[in-house]
Amino acid sequence: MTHKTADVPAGSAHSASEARLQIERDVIQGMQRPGLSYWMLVGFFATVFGVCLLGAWGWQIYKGMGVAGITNPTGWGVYIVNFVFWVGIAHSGTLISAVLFLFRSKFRSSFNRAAEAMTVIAVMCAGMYPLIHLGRMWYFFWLLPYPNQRLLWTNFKSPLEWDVFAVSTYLTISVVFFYVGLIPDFAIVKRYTRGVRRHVYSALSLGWLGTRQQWRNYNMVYALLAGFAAPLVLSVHSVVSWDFAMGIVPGWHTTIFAPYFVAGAIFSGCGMVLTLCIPMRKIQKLERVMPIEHFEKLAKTMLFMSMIVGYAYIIEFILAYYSGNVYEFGIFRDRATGFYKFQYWGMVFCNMIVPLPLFIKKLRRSLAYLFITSIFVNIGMWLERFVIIVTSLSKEFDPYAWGPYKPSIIEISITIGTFGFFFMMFLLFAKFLPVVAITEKKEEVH
Amino acid sequence: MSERFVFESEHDFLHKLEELVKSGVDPRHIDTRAPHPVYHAEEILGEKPSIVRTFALIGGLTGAATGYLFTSLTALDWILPVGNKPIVGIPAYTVIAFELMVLFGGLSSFLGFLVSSRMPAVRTVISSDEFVDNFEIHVRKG
Amino acid sequence: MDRRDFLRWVGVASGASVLAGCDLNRKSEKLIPYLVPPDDGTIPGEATFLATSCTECPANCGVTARVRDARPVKLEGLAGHPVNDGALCIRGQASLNRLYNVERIRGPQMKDASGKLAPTTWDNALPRVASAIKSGGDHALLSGRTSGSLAALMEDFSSRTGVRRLPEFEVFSYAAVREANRELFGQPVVPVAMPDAADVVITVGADVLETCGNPVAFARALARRRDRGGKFEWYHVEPHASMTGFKASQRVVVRPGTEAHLLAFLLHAVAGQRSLDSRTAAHVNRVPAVTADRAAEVTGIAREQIEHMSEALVNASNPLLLAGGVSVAHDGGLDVAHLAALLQSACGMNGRTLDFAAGADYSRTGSMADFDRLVQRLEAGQVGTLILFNVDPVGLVADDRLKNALSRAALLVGVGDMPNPTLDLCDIVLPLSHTLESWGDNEPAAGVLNVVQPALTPLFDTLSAGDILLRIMAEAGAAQDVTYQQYVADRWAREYGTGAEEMVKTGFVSRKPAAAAITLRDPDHRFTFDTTGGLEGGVLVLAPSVRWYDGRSEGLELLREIPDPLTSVSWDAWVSVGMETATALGVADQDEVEIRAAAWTTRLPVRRQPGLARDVFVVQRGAAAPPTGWSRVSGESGAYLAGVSVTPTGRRVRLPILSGSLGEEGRGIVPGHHPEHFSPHAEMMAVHGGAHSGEVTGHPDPKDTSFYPAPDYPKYRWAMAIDMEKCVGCSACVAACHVENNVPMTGREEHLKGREMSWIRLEQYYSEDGSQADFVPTMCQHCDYATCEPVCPVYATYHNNEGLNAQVYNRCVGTRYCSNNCPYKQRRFNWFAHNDRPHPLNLMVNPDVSLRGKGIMEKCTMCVQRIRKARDVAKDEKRDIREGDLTTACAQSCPGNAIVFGNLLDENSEVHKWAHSERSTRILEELGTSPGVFYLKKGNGHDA
Repeated sequence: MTHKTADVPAGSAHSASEARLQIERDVIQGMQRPGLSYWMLVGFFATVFGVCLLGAWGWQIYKGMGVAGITNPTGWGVYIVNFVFWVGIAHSGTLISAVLFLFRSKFRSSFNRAAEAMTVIAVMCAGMYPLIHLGRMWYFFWLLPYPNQRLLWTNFKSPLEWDVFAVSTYLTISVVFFYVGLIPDFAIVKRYTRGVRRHVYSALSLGWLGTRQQWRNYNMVYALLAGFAAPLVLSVHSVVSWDFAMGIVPGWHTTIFAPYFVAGAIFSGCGMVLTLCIPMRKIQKLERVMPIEHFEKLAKTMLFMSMIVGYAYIIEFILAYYSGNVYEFGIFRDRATGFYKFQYWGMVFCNMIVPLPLFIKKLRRSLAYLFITSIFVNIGMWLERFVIIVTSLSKEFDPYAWGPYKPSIIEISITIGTFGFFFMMFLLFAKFLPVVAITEKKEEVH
Repeated sequence: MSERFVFESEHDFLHKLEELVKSGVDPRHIDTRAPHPVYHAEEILGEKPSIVRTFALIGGLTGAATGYLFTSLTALDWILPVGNKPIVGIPAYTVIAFELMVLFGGLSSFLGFLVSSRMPAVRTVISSDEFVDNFEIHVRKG
Repeated sequence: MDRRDFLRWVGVASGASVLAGCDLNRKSEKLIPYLVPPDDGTIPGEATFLATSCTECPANCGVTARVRDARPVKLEGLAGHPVNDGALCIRGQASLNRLYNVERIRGPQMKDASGKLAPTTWDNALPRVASAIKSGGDHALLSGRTSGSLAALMEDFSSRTGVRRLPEFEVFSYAAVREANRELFGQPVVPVAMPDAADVVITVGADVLETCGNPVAFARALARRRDRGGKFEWYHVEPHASMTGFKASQRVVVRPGTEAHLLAFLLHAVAGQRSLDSRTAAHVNRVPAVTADRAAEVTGIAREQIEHMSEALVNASNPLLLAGGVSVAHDGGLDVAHLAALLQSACGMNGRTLDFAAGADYSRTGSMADFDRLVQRLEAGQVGTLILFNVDPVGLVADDRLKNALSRAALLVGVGDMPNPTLDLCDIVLPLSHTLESWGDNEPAAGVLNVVQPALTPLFDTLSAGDILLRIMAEAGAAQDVTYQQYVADRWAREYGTGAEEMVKTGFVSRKPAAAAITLRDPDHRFTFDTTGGLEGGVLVLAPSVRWYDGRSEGLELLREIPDPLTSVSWDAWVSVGMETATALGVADQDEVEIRAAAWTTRLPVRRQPGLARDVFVVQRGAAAPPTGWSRVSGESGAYLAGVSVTPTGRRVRLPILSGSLGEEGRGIVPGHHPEHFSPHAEMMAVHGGAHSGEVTGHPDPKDTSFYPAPDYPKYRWAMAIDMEKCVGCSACVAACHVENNVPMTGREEHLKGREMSWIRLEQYYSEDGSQADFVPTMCQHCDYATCEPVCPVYATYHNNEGLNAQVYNRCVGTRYCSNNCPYKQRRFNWFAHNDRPHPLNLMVNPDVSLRGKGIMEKCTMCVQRIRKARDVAKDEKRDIREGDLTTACAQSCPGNAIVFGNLLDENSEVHKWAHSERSTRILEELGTSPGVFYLKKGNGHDA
């Protein structure tokens, strides 16, 4: 027996329902059958990935690590720079999603899906680099603690082993978190699709109907996952920073690294979210579900992070000077004046200077300006990792063993290749998954 | 026999729900559907916290314990001194323990969610039943 | 693309990692276990030792060849040998690289119709040589310095075949010294220096630690001297910058070509203070008087320094003064040698710090004057067949006339082991076996005979030096057909009365020669020297090379791989430019300059050299040698090109310079120096953990520097100690380590990227003003609190209970974190499959040490294979390893006895004593790594 209720004023109820349906349509219209230009773009990025990354990597495996520019003493170069860069990018995905969820921040709902997708893809990108940089990558599984014939386990005291756990946990939890959030949306998408696609989305929705039991458990699991993910974000980038801070290398061996890296990660993540969402909003016509106010809030976050990062740059110098330690201060003096001074000042410019005009409200609300700023931030954060990793290694304790490092064509190619992978995956995401969390947007409708 | 009410508005839905509960309908006999989470409905129905919490707790504790035990026991299994540090290095192993706590906790929460929500619901997946944009109340007659 | 390449590519495409993992399988060959041991007595896995001699340079040190599975894998100095006593230099260590050189000539060659050398057989080549020398004409044989049976055989050869034996050709012929001694004493000999008996040593240009005389013996003697303690001063006078100079207690920089003024002043100073016999006085009186001011003015040496030297010389009870090297290698060089010889006589050095009787026999060795006569005769077309017997004048002497002259000979027969510019000109090339493939002997010093015995059958179709001569003689019908083995055995029996069996066991025979009676002859002419002083304008000095000697060893890749100890340049040729000159020219390292002399010009990259005088440029002997001519007075080959102009070309040339910095940059790496922490807080740091290295007596207690208790080693703590006073910077340790541990040679391109593989390296640090240099041999420091260990995720490196920082190659996945985290930067990563060695280099492998594949980290193991061997032996004898059971390859080879290795827990061990000496310090001690390598800093009164 079904009661259709019409005993309340029709206007408001109808408009709320209409608003909710409008959100559905707005989001799902972006998922309609992709055109040729889309496939060509995906094909282009896939080719970049295949040739620049897989091809160059294959060559490196065949010939040896020597095809990369890394050398004595700079044993880590662009590969580790890229690793940290992508882990950093991956961070704001979970930050926007989980941390803002816990703070019940409204502007989260515009970006959380895209940010989570970005996280998952960026962690995949990051995850490739430890493999790429291994001298004998064909034995990468030796890094995993599994019972083997040698009865030998791994060294859990090594920050690299922490990395294995942190990054793989992060990938797993991010995927689960991403997927849990998608379950109700899959059920909605099912409604809008026919044929095979409908079956696929239906299966992905695991039979979601929005029942009382489901929502109750869903709310709980989502909050729990957000609760697990938030400290995980902090821990993962702290662990990444400890790859350096646990070393004895001057310029690495400092206690501020964990917060400094986390701030940097959030900063770069905000930058990458802006870089991705601004064009996506335009292309997918998401103006209604991604209001400009939300961008403004993201810009504020980014500005704040920029100032934390800038503070870290300055305090590192002061601490190095205050220590009076010839090795420590030698490194910092060399960063500003040595072989890599252009990278250093480029980093300062991109990360400290460029975001400053965001104090002006008008600029915060200009998507074009935000987009340009976000590109600078991406470049600046890449340079930051380069400066930290390379300058410290190239001028350590023993001056005889000093030596500059220049990336080789293989390293540059692999770096470009990851961007190919990243954009290819993001394009696939934008076409096949709802890019905004529909149910959450609906929740805001009253 | 069951009764089914369909609303377009969250307000009407909550209103009706309150009315039903006040009228003495056992909340256990009420099922609802909603297009988005409605926390107020849970309050009206007097929901107990989801069992997923327990899964998370057990998973998290298991993870942390595994983290400490696994690292310590493997280190003791074949003693390989490195840098003259203690064989069982608790501060270092805390990182692993933390990560495993999060991993186990997160995965078991997800498992708890699936189990307690009876998902994947194969029948629904293959049926034409859809997740619609309405608020519904089903009252099962005991 | 062949099938294998195709498959390889398919492999890359389908799963490159799988292929890479199977890399080894592809190259493996059938393994045949020695169920039945080979007939030749080889015991698999057991090393045998053969005493033989090194022939990489004419010093002819005695060596032991370690033979494993019928091939020599390592050369070591022969313990107790009167010349080198167990030590061996960098070139001697690298001699194996000549034996197993890819470039080796693998069979006889003869020029074909097109004028190119083509392979032939001995049966074709030898009759041609024989018939050529039997035909009419004036035939000649030119060889390098020979001694012992080979010299005798050459005499036989000459007398029986009528081939004229020319004076032997050596670039370093000591012609000036011999001529001076002939003039003054009537004995054209090269005396042996005995610095161990001296308290003041003055070396004038004589690069006694590089090539002059026997550097190994000199370094050994210095070590003995330093062990004895007491006052010891060593002045080295030189116009350029050499390792000898920087290792002396005072390096005295002299304007090129003005050494005679200094020596004349010293001579008069000595004459004024000592009572001389009338004959000496007569000699001295003939020498123009030079005042200290005049000497200072001409030589450019500070007056105080000159007076200091003369005071030291006059007051010395056992002075030693030597002239040689570049200081006698110019037209005024004979004057320098003459004055030096007079000083030696006047100070009574002969018989006390100089031995005229023990020198090697240079009587058959000619000078450049003799060589020039040959060139003239060749130009005149007076030479029929010329046999160039293991000499490379074309490569070693830059002389345009020479090439044309050689082409005038009717037939050029070359004998040699590796291609060189001389052999390229020859009509017939007869391949020479390596010494390790030959029988023979040589005489490194008067009364000493070294046995040369083969350690393996010849790798290629080659013959030993003696056999080539005997075969030619037999072919020419000039002698009975005997092998050289019989020949030397007969000669030994005749001359020494011992059979070959006895001889090969000891490896050498030593009979102390009678003391030489040296008497000064009456002066026969007024002695003058060029008083205007010195060479004008920019001066290019052609310096001897510690790595390549006179250039003859340049072809050995191992010696090119090891950087020059002064400049850290490997592989390529360069020109050293002083710091001031570089600033004036506006050039930095790697900038190319054009060096222009009257009729010669070349372009070379710059390497800045602290301590080098203004407008003095240094090029080492080798392929880029300038035409420095020779002295018409003494016949000594020249080492100078005066009046050169040097201009930057504006181009940058990639030059492999391995050192990242000329100075310490305030890091306090040199033992005894301190890091220059700059704020008052530095003192605070010294209190709270991390004391400054060297500021405390002994070493910081681990409990002050670490959270963790000191390691507890049950029985052994393998450790090393290096005495910075005894180390002469010769890099012999580096070569020894390369050979012992199969350290790959990576080549020039890799060195340009800084990817050297050497497990031990010599770091050179110059003081700000360039007056001082320190050479610090560094290797893995085997720290108690090793920073590399905890960061490895797979336990590929860990600490064993004997204090070794162990590296498990097979477990390594190549994260390179350990290398990043090593403050000493001593870890080496295999960037490529460096150990895919081509034949026959693949035989130069020590089977006790595994070859590392690509992607693996490696480093110094403190010769763990030797520890293992010693442990096995000790276990068989039911005891612990004792002091003296083993030493590492570097310590074993060290000519200066500067390295000791042993068990630090054994209180009677040498390393324990050194580590607990007052001078003991460790590098970067304040980091709290507690290394197992101790350095004894310089200075407890030895050095002024």
